Amino acid sequence: MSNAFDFPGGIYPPERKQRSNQSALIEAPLPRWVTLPLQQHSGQAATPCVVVGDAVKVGSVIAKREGMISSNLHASISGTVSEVSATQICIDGDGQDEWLRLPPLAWRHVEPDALLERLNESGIVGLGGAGFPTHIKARVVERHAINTLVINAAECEPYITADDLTLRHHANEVLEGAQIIAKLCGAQHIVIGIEDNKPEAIGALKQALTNSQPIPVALTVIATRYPSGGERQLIKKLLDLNVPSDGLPADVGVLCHNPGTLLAVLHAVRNGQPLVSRVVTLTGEAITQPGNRWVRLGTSVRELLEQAGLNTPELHQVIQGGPMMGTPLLTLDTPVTKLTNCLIAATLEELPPPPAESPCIRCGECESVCPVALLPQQLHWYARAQDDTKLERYHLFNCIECGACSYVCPSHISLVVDYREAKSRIRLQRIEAVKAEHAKHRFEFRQARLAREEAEKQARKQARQAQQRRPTNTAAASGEKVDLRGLRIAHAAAKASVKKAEKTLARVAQEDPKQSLDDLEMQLATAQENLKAAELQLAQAREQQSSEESS
Amino acid sequence: MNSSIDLIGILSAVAVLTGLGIGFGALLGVVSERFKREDNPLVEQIDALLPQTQCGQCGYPGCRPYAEAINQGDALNKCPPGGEATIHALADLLGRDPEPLDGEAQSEAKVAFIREAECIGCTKCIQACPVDAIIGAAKLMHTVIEDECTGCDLCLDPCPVDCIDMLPRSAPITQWQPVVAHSSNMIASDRQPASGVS
Amino acid sequence: MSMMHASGVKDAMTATAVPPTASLMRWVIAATMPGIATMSYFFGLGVISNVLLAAAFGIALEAAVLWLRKRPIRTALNDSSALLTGVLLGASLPPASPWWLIGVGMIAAIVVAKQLYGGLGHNPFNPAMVGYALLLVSFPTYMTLWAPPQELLPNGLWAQIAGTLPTTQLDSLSGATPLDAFKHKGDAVLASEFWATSPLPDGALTAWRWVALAWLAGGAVLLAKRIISWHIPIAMLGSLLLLATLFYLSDPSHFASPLFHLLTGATLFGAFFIATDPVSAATSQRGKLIYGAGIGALIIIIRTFGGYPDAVAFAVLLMNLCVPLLDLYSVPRPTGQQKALPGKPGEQP
Repeated sequence: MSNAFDFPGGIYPPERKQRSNQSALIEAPLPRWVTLPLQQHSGQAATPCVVVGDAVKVGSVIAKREGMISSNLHASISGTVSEVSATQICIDGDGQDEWLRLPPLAWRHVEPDALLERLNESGIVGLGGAGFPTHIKARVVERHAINTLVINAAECEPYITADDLTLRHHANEVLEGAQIIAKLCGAQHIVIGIEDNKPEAIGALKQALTNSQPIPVALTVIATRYPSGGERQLIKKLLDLNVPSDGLPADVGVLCHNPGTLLAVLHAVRNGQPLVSRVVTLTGEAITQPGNRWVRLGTSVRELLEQAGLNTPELHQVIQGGPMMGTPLLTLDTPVTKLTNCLIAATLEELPPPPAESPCIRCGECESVCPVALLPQQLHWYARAQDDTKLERYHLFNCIECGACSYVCPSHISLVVDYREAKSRIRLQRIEAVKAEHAKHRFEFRQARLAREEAEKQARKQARQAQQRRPTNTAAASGEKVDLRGLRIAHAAAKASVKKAEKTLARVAQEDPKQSLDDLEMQLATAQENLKAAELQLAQAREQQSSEESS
Repeated sequence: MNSSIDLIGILSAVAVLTGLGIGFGALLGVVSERFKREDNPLVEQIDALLPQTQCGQCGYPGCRPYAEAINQGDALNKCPPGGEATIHALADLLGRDPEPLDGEAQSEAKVAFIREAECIGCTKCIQACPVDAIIGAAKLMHTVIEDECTGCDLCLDPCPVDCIDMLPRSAPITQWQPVVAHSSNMIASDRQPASGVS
Repeated sequence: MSMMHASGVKDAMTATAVPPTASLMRWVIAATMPGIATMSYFFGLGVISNVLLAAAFGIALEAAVLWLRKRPIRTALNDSSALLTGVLLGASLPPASPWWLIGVGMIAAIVVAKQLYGGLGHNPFNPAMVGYALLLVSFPTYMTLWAPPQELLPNGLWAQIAGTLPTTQLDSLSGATPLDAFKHKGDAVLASEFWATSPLPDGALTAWRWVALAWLAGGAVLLAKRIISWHIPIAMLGSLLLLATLFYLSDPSHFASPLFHLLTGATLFGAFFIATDPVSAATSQRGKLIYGAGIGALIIIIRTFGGYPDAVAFAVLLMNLCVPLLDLYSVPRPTGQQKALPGKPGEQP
């Protein structure tokens, strides 16, 4: 039961933000070496364009984007490249922190294309956690009209305060970044959605939005509830729009961005600074100096936490991200990436492991908290039973994996793990099914080709025999009556299939020009081979009949 | 017993029921003939469940002939590339009992690879491949298109110099599957305890 | 589970959030204590012997079946669900029931209705009510052997439990419950006359009313602790009162008043402890409301027109049958979808 301007379900976990939002945003110490993975974004990994031994400055391009959905990668410290592998590039710092900046752009006066190019070069991806390349997202206006730019400052997960601190210190700049994106995508309104547990940030925003030009900026404070920061949930809450589940916010004219991303956009455009650092929340009971830091990408998590006073004996686990949707790190010797918004160094008492799983008692609590109004209980039963038909019927792929259902489950069932496993299994099956279908079409084409070659051979043989005026003995030898009518029907059917295949191909090509049409082309070719074979057989049969009649 | 055995009663009951049975049976027979479908959608559904490797290990020249045979009543368990999953899916579709696989299960997906140094360009493998996944021509180099190869093994036998290897198919990291213990076996049985759920 | 499991990405805060299932079950057991205490006060120690015997049988039977099924026994027993079933069935039976009656009832409840369907979480029917219904149908005399309050002395208690009491003494002890008496008063006797002559044993009506209030107190505790949600009890009591009122208003001389229905029999017990069993009840909130309403209505109908004086068990079992349908028809429409469930022709729901 969803009311206007509200999404169903939701939970109220303890916020635990006090630990990290009491201190100001400061810079982390410059790391002595960094490890930069080539894949810090969704899409294809970037390709290195440096080799071991190259000297780089902060902001030098070290890997270029590959394919359409990809992002450039830049050196985050100045020094020498020490390792280039298939997955990462390591740089040994020289401590000098020399920068290589691009020329600043006066964004109010340049063409949108120049802005897009700047975004493209700067390696900016969505810093809220998904890492979608921002320059691709800005090009959505080529396909959809965008009316409103939403700034997602909800930050609904417990512990995380990165956006909160960013807005407290840089509200003006975040709004300016929003204006740049608004200019790029043609939005007429900018709306900021923020939860009511961030009073300082709200105050800073209220002051900043009066000066923000030219698009008017509106601030909407929403009640704190997890997961109000989910894109679709926030759009429903702010604008009362339902994003279709098989579509994107752009389908309802909305573009949604994280405040950190917008700040990075401004730095790239105004200062010529590519994405080399980001705000990371360091929190958890196992460190003595929690708070938010500007961290250079590629900094070792271990080094970062130790500088924040890591108490190793007390440490139970480090979670990258929030406690609801984040990932426990397997090792501390891993770098901070573009997607690291928070590191929780938790003790055992703080985040105890859940008790052993009991059977589901069908209490229905999970259903009452799902923000997408799904039936987690049914999905759980069907995921365990691997009943894929039912899983798709109950809209498994609408699940945003927020973890609200497993949070309230009295039997402590790991529901989201079930859904992830089921989703990956179904995706793999779909890929396999497409491959099998494709193999089947190739097989059919081969059969058709062989049939046509056989028919051509027969036709040639018949023509040869007719020339030599020898009595044809094919039909007589086999004793079959020439079924002219049957062949005519087969010929007509083959013609119809060719037409149908052509029409399907044309329609699909028009609907989505970028999609691969190989399979449909093959089906068309198969139909054409069959037609050829049918024609030859028909011609041959007619010849035979006329020669029989004449003899 | 205060009622006599009513022979007439018994006989007439039997006769009525037999008559009803024959009558309804005849009606069903006539209707099934009259409304018979020419095409056979069940064969399509069976074919959709088969892996389409067109390898012939089932004894039929391709997956579609096997699908038609299954429809006629042939055993479900003849497809090694499909494995247990296909047998169960077919059993579910047709309402029959699944049987264990008749043959060796395939451990992993494989693709053919021609050692080009030894290839003599005889085209025998090209003629054997059911999905035209080998490109080449007479006296010219042959090579397997990895994406099109279904791993059916049909090219191995015809090659006179035995220069074809079956190698494991490389799976991209984007298709990594997590290993979760509880994904099956919700119900314990005598042979195996339930996994995961305590 | 170890957090080092690569695929074990799950919310880390759940352990802090909710009490586990075992804790829920124990709270329900605790909430039955006021009712059981009140019943013992009025009907003697037989109530306690029932509950203890039933609980003991429950745990023993569950352990035995789990051993046969090769499941971990301690973990499953730890969730206290067998204990709860025992307590509920024990509280439903007439005080000081023979031990074999309780045993048969618990076999039906635990072995048949719960474990044979797959254990906790898999049973479609409420186990305690399956046991009760089986006993009611199979041993009607023992199931209607409600001793009048304060009649049963301790030295007769043991004999009754052991089943060695001579039948003559049994008859003299037996009395009707208020519902039973009202049902069997016959059509010739008007309701007003019934209440005037009151063929019930002394204080029976008062006793039953206090017991009902004790059940209500337990239920209120469960609601306050959010162990159960309000949907089923409110819907059930609401529809029960509504239908009872309609009947009563149509003919006060033949139908009992709504308050009578509310405070006698197992109405309040059923509303808060039986119908709210999560495993056999409907899942969605809408479904729960319909489920509760159905139970309430069926209780009145069976009590008025059916063959049994009390109908909670049968009403609950009948609505358990409807639960899959209720769940199917109360699927919510997910955000961003056009329909709740895609309606492809020929596809099974």
